[in-house]
Amino acid sequence: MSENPENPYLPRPMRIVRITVESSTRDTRTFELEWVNPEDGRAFLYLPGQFAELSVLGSGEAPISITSSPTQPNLQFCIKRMGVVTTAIHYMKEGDTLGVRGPYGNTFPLDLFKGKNILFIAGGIGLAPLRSVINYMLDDSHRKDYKDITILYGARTPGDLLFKYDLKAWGERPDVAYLETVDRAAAGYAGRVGFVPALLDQTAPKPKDTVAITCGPPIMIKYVLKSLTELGFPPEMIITTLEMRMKCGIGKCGRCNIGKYYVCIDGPVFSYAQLQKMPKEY
Amino acid sequence: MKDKILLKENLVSFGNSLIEQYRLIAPVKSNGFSLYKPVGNASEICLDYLRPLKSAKEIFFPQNETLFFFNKKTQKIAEPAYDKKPTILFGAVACDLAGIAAQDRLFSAGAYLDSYYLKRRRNSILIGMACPEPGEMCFCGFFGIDRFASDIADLFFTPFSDKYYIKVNTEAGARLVESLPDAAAADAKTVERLRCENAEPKWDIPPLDELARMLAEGFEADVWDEIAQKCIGCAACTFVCPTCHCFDITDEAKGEIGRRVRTWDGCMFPKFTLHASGHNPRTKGGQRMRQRILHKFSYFKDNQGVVSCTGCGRCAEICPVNVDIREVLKQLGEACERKS
Amino acid sequence: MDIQSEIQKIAARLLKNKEVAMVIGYGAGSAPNRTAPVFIDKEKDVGKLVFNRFCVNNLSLYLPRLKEKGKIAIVAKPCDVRTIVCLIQEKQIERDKVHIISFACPGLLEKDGKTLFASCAECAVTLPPVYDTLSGEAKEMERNEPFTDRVADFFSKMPAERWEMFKAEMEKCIRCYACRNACPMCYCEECFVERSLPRWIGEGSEVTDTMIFHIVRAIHTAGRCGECGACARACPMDVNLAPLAKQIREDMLNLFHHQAGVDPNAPAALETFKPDDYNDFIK
Ligand SMILES: Cc1cc2nc3c(=O)[nH]c(=O)nc-3n(C[C@H](O)[C@H](O)[C@H](O)COP(=O)(O)OP(=O)(O)OC[C@H]3O[C@@H](n4cnc5c(N)ncnc54)[C@H](O)[C@@H]3O)c2cc1C
Ligand code: SF4
Ligand code: SF4
Ligand code: SF4
Ligand code: SF4
Ligand code: SF4
Ligand code: FES
Repeated sequence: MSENPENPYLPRPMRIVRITVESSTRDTRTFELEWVNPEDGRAFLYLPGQFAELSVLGSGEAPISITSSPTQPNLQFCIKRMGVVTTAIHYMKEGDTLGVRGPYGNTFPLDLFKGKNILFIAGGIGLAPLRSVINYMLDDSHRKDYKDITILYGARTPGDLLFKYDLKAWGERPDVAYLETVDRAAAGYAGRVGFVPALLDQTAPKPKDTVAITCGPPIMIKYVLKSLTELGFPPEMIITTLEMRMKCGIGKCGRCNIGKYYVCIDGPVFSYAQLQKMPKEY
Repeated sequence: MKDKILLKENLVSFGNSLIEQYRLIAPVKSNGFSLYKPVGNASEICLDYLRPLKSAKEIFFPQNETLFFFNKKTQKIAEPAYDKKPTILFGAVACDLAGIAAQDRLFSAGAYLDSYYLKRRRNSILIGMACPEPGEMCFCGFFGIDRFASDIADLFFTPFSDKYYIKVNTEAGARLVESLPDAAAADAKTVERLRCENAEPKWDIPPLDELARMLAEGFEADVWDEIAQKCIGCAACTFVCPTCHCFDITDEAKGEIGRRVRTWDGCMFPKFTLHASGHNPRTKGGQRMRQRILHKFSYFKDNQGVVSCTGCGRCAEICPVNVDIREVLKQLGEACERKS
Repeated sequence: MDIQSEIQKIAARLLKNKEVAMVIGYGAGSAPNRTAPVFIDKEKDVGKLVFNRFCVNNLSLYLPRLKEKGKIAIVAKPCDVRTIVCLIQEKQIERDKVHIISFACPGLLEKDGKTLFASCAECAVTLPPVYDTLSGEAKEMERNEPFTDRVADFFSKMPAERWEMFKAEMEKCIRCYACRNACPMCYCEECFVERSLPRWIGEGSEVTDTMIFHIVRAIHTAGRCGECGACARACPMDVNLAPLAKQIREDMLNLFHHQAGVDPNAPAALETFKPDDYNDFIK
């Protein structure tokens, strides 16, 4: 009994190669990172849906979804400034290093998605984890595995629409139906105004052979789940992600426990069918 | 492996013979209560107890542990030096040993092994001690925990007349008591008799399997609010508990130099689940009490195969407002009956 | 009639006449020499109210959080009443929304059933400063039980030794904050120890952080502490901070002529300024 297991709490250094300011209020930025030690990168194999613990020495750690797709070379995290750690990350510049450990959590059920129509419904920063799986599916090597892809995305204001470069690309692709909406219009905005659930009701997607994947603020999720159910989507075909306060990311610290699940290892991706069996503690 | 006998009068010299090679931790009395503490001389050991006020968990899972030191400027991190001297926990009572067994499962479960816990735990020897008499808040018997034996202990001591009967469970334990005389068959009988005489009392708590059903049903029951009304949310109950394993991870820094620490935390603290956005999935005392009880009696069992309460009664003992876990379970049973 | 029966009678009357929505009192504990807070809102349940010398909690801590229920009656020891007075002074509760059931206090005993609590041995207010109903005979109680005078012991030592004693107490602390949570005057929505922006003290159990917590708490309760001793009794580790509290109490008395919670019409000490206030610290 003497061999010592590897220490799962040590962050690995990553260098910031690019920072993209996403929102007009500047409180949301995407950080593109590359490994300082390439061997750490070779050990970090992830799939869409997973997250990592980002670490700023002296400030602490925060769980952040991986927003890049494994088909892309570098890791990307889209981070909204909320508190100690996220603020510290926002103060960083290109060339600075931060720590990463992971990847943690389960992945989107890619096997379930194969051969189906895919309907994405995202609100605000909820697009960050979905963007990973969207770009994964849209990659040349995977697109043929899925039928129609529809993306519904909404934000509070036009300035809050994230990843504008991706939104543009998706909108231009013939094999993607991309629709966006904002709660409140602003000067110079000519697009749709209204909430995401209303857009969903207008679009009225058919549930046959379709999986719905949704992520966004709790209030949006609540109405989206209701609409999808009314449209006839069975709960097994509705996939969402849960956010809980997390610390360890590896099922030890107890913070993300809901019922018998630990969101950091059994989630963050859950089907609506699973959610219905869980205590309403999220 | 033969069981052994140690004369009570030789306990101190036996203990001192261990101190050279091992870090010896044993119950020590100060300020009128006992605590598991490192001992420099075996004469400090105090065995006239009730179980120590705090559980033995901090030996392997300290309240405050440096995960690593760091330098913000150079971005270098370094794990703390680790004392290779093996630990002997001497005089652990059955509820504490059961607590260690539960923590062993958690910290080695799944794909991630907790290196900090396992490093210490794998470099340790457990010596159990029969608990002479349950305290007024104890109910280990409810869980079928045997006060006179433990599988997880390397050695298990049972005092009788002027001796200790030493049950030898492992090779590592056997090496420590090699030089002691073998136990006679008659001694084994005496100890067995002692154990039977100390059969556990009956508990007026619903039996464990029924409890599991009640807990499942009781999820939305108002009784949680009723139970939690007097709770002041101090979480002392989770700190003294031998199985509670929740922790927080934070950074402490002075200038460039600092450390990342993990510290005990608990689901009874109102801020335990508070999101950075201000959203809190468990805002009410009743929800937190429910989490604590369900985690112990339902969720932990689902994941690790055992209930994570050993009936040590410490939480009830120290609760400033007398939230007694036995009463909580009883109240829950009554509420479920009322409902059906 | 004994105090317990009188409390039950008063509670029954108040609930029956709908004068109060709830009575907060002491109920039977789960083991000998213990009690537990109970919340009674039906007349038929008043039999659950007990009174004995193990009523260790200061129930006024529940008043602010239950105030939306309406008027509340509370069983309060004279020292507990002092904290109720402070809560009124600090506008946490309103005087006419609380019915104080108090009594001439016999003093509390430790769990051994014979030792008087140190705070009770020191206590000078065996009668409540204000009340709505008083039970028991209004007379000074005689207190003959033994107690350990840890305060006198502390002050008989040299400074270096005192420092060591203080440090030793601090090392016992497990930072559960039960002392704070048991204290009616520690009602802050967000305590400084839990603030993360800025962070005041480390999460760990560094003894210096523990000291900061206790010293700041002592200062935050200066002139507001009713000396009920509920904090000390709530502590699972038996941390003794009586000397610190006593020093602050005496400073408040000598320097500012203030005693906490004796006069509901008086302003709170740290809310007032008198030209002759002690100000040697501004030099
Ligand atoms: C699976 C998952 C994926 C996520 N993905 C994203 C994402 O892609 N993008 C994104 O922007 N966000 C994401 N989040 C949310 C993000 O993790 C939080 O916004 C972030 O953790 C906030 O951390 P902070 O340090 O900035 O905030 P704070 O809440 O200030 O926390 C700072 C630190 O201070 C400490 N602290 C805070 N409050 C207290 C207290 N009361 N007492 C003691 N200590 C305290 C904590 O230890 C914490 O580490 C995700 C969350 C989860 C669970
Ligand atoms: S020790 Fe008692 S008061 Fe404190 S959190 Fe636990 S149950 Fe509540
Ligand atoms: S819950 Fe209470 S009785 Fe059970 S093991 Fe923990 S401290 Fe002991
Ligand atoms: S969730 Fe609560 S009861 Fe369970 S281990 Fe954590 S602190 Fe203990
Ligand atoms: S500090 Fe202690 S003695 Fe003073 S009012 Fe608070 S609980 Fe009572
Ligand atoms: S109750 Fe005791 S152990 Fe807990 S924080 Fe206060 S002094 Fe420390
Ligand atoms: S984050 Fe620690 S258990 Fe999930």
